[in-house]
Amino acid sequence: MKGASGTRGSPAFVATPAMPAAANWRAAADSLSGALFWLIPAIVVVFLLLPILVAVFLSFDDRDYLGAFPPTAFSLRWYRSFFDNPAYLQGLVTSIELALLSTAVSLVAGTAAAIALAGTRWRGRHGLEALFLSPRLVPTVVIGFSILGFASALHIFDAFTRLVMGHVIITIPFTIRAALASLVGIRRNLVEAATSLGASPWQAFLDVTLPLAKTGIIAGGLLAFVLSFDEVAVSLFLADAFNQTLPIVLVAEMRTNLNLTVAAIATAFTALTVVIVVFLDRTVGLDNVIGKGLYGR
Amino acid sequence: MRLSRVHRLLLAPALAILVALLVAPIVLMAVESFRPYIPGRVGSGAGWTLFNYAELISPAYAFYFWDTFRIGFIVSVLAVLLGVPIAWHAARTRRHAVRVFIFGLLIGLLFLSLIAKLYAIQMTWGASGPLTFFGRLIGIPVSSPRYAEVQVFIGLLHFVLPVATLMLIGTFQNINPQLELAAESLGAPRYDVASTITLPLAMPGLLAAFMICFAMCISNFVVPLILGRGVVLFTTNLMYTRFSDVANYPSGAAIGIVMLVLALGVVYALTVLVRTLFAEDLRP
Amino acid sequence: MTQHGLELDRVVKRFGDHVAVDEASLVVAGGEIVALLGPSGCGKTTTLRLIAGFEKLDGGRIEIAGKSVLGQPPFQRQIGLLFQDYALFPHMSVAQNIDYGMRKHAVPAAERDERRRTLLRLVRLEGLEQRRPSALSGGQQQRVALARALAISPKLLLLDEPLSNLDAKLRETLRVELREILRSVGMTSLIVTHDQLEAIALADRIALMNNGHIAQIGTGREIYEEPATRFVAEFIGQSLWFTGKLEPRHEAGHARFRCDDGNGFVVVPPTGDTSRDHGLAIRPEHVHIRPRPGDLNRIPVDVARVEFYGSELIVHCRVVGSDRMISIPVRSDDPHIPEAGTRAELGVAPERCRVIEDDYRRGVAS
Repeated sequence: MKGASGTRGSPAFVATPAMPAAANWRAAADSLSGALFWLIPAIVVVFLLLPILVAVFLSFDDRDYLGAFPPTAFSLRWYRSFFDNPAYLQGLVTSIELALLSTAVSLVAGTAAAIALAGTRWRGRHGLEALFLSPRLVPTVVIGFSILGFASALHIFDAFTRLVMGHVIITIPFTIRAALASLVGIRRNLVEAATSLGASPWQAFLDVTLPLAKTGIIAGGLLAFVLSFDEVAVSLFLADAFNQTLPIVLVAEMRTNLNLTVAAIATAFTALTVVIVVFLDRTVGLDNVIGKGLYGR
Repeated sequence: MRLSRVHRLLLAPALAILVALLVAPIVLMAVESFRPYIPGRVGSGAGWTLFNYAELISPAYAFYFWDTFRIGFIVSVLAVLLGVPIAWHAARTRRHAVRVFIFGLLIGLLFLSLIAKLYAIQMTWGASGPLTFFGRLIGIPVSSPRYAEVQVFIGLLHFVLPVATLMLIGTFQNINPQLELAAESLGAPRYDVASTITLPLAMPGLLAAFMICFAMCISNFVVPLILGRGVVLFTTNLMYTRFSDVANYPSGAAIGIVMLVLALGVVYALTVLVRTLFAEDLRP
Repeated sequence: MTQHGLELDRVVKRFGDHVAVDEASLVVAGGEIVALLGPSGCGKTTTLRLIAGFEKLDGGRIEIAGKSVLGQPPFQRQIGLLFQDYALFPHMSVAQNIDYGMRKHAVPAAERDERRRTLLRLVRLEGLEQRRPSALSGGQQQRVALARALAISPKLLLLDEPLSNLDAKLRETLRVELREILRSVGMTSLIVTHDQLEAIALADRIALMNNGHIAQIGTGREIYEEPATRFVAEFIGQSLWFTGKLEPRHEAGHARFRCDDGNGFVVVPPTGDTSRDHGLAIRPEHVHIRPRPGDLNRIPVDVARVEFYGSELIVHCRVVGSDRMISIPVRSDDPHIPEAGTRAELGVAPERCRVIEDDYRRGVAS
């Protein structure tokens, strides 16, 4: 075939372009920008972790007032003060009960919906999926406010029931999404293989689909629990004097007398979070929680 | 293709929950927002009015909306900008330890109670914390009420930065890393590669992350509640005080509807924007 | 040529405990096309990245056109890179892709246009300037990638598995075209590949790489007929391998090789270093189903199976007195095809018995 007009062995065009005269400053700028691109994340990471570290430190502060940092004497007084306070303990119990119940309802309804969404080829399933995820777009104050009105209209005056209603609706998008992500990743031919070997559809579901989807379901459940536990806005609207969640008690107490009990609580939450993250890494692998994208190795 | 009976049964509970706990309550709230408020009386009056909405246009209330949007916008821009370097490194590094560390950190921050973080921030940047010099640095004394806004900024940043970064990790993972290498081999220093190749291709993802952060910020309730010290109030807090202090249910309902429309509007507008601007570039 | 196009001198690269490139040395003359061939994991991609500047050298030297690249960031090395998946910028047109490098090198607009047109003519893609990469076929994308790399007048062209992303039919046509283009442009080129056919078709010389080390460099013919190590003998074509020891005595230009199973072979004295582990390599096609004159080595075998493959047959034999199987190709029209179950005598000439280094136990065998 006809090639370029240059003679054999020499490039078709003659001049080799010289790098611009300012080559040295470009190399310096290249190194500098590279270094900055490492420095900024490092600073941001410190920024994000610093308050937590300060809180952990302060939780062991022996002084009974909010003194200057750093503390010089250490004790467990603030942890004790949490357990000595009946309001906190009751709040903790209420929060746990609420979170467990809401998560359970959310998980069951959400996983069932996810199974249906993943298994069907119905045209409307994308719209339905968007509908199920829509509570995430609604501000939590709106959810709390609207359910309060709705519950009153239905003559539901039990605060705990109202709280469950509110917490279920805010957690269900997360359980659906997490279960769906897992279920969508299961290849259809695995279920087909099971049924060809003699399993009924129900058995195939139990033996193949459910175990493979369990990571998504567990992750969704964990997320729902934490979300419910930490929720303030919805709880503020729907609670009453006898059903107060821990966040509500906390905010009220800190309003009146800000002390370091909150530091102890923060430390406890941090420890719990570390456990959750390590658990996720051991069971699912953090790489898989985030995913590898199109070009992952 | 119809929905099978089994599937319909499976979808029923979630659908019922959605209708009963989201759709119906909001519809009811919408109805309430058009009713007049009668002070001193529990429940709204009869008849229809637009007063609750008209009230919101007055300067006193517009101020709340402006504050909410202004702070939300700045925090979202910062969150996306600061998240880019972290996300890029997490997506590109071949060292397993680095990637796991960043993932673990971000997931941990997502799971960590926001309230715990907010009080920790108050203790750290507040009056007796170790970072009080920061106030002097930026010229706002720690004790002044203006400092509350600084703390709200910091609190919101702690809230949305992990989310933005996680989304951006996905964005960078889906950009072919060899494009950056190709650009470098063709003579572009790395800052040039970033501005001519990486960022243009990441733009849809950057906008999506911004949109999510913005929606999260303007809907947030706790951060101004705890760190705002009554000085910084978002429309969410306004909604709460309308109801809790004054029992003005219709006005609260009107604010709620406006907030809902705004939050959905932001998401819709940016989705359309991304789709129209970047339709051609989104193919690999 | 006074300077070499590319020179690698005992290049080393480590990742933690793993030595990816282990004292690799290679010289490519200016204008020459060399293929770096090896199985996956052998270190060839790492070597490419070292040359391009995306990894830092842990030891040794790399010189391009006589100048060391030490300390030079990738954007200053002026190397043309062709990626396996082409890596065309999706948000730019074909013209913009090709212009990119020239812009970074501050080539004025008029000259840019001129060069771009010349290059598009060279790769036969005139008229496609405004297309986006997503609107091009695989073969067209590859040609744009080539034009883009050539646009900066690079001192060296590095190609990473250039044909592996194409289907078989396209591969054949592009193989010829690519070689024509590379030859006409006269650029020093290094092609990294795992495909023997690609290497033999595109390159002047081939460097075989295994476990980070370059086992042999030579033309396709040299490597095939005189493999230097076991890896080379078995990677290119096929090879029968016998473990054992070379006996120290030499007589009348021949030597003896004593196999571990007791048999002896008359071989040519090896030219290489036999202080390391060594063994005997024989290509199956050089073993004759019936001894010919000059076949000083005779192997009595029992014929186990004869398989029909069209123009040739594969005869599977078991060596008498051992479990060893030898499978040799025989032309279908050979008059002496044995029957299964009969005894036969295979013959092979000493010149076809090569005593070479066994580099399987060096590092992890691939």
